[in-house]
Amino acid sequence: MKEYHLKTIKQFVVAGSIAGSAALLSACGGSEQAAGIAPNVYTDSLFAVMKADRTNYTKLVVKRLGPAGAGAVKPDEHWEDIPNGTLLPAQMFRAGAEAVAEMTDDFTYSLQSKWPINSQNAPKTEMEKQGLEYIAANPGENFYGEETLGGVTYYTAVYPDVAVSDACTTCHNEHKDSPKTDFKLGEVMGGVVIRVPLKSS
Amino acid sequence: MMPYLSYLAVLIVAAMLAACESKEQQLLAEGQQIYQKNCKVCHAQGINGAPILGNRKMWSARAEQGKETLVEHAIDGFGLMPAKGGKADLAKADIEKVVAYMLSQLD
Repeated sequence: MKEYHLKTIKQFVVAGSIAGSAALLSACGGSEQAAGIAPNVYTDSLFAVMKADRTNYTKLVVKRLGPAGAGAVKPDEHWEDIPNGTLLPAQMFRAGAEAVAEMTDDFTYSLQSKWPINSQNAPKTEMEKQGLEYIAANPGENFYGEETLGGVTYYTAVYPDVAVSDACTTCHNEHKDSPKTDFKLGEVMGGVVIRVPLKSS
Repeated sequence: MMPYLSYLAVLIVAAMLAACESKEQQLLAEGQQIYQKNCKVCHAQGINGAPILGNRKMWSARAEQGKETLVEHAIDGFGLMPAKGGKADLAKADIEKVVAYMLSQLD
């Protein structure tokens, strides 16, 4: 019963994320007909949905049902190994990104860092590196640019991912695979990279 | 003689008003600096539900609670916001300045 409950929560949150993004895409007419919307407004809007879903999962599920609330669930990196384990907010965010990647190529998003616990989450393109450098050096600011990859021009936006609780800093600072162990509350830990194809060159 | 005294009184009052305004501007400028250094990282973006600077939709209900309540929430932490936004070295006076600055952005 508990497992069913948790699965339902996860499905609900991921579905909400996907539905929100899909609604935005639908409203904009998809990338091919998006001439009427500036790329930064489009990516800002996508990020607004992502932010809202992540905040709501943190507030309405993790905080309400986790150790700080009812104690019914245990948010943990290894949530799958725990009977009442549930995903950390950053993991739920990644789950959303993976679900979207299965659904469409019209845009992609990922959570990256210059100091990733998992090396797969390190920046790969020059623009990703440049964007992550910029948002770390300019807290609260976004980064926007265009890059050409495999003959396709992409609009790439990078938004800050901030250490918003002790759970973020403690987990990263104490993790055996973390390349940085002195994160502080309020510090930019990484960034959300949203990439939208503009045209084939 | 009397007209000169009246002019003098007007000048003194005007100077006092200018000084008050200048003091208020100074406090807001200090609040802005504190904001940029400590608060912008979340409040520019709405990270973790933080009300975005200048966003009336997000601020209206909060502003209605009054500056004192907002200062108290910022100091003690509220909702998902950690106490002092995690910047433990900020004094109450700093928080008061930054809350005043953020509220001023709704004017």
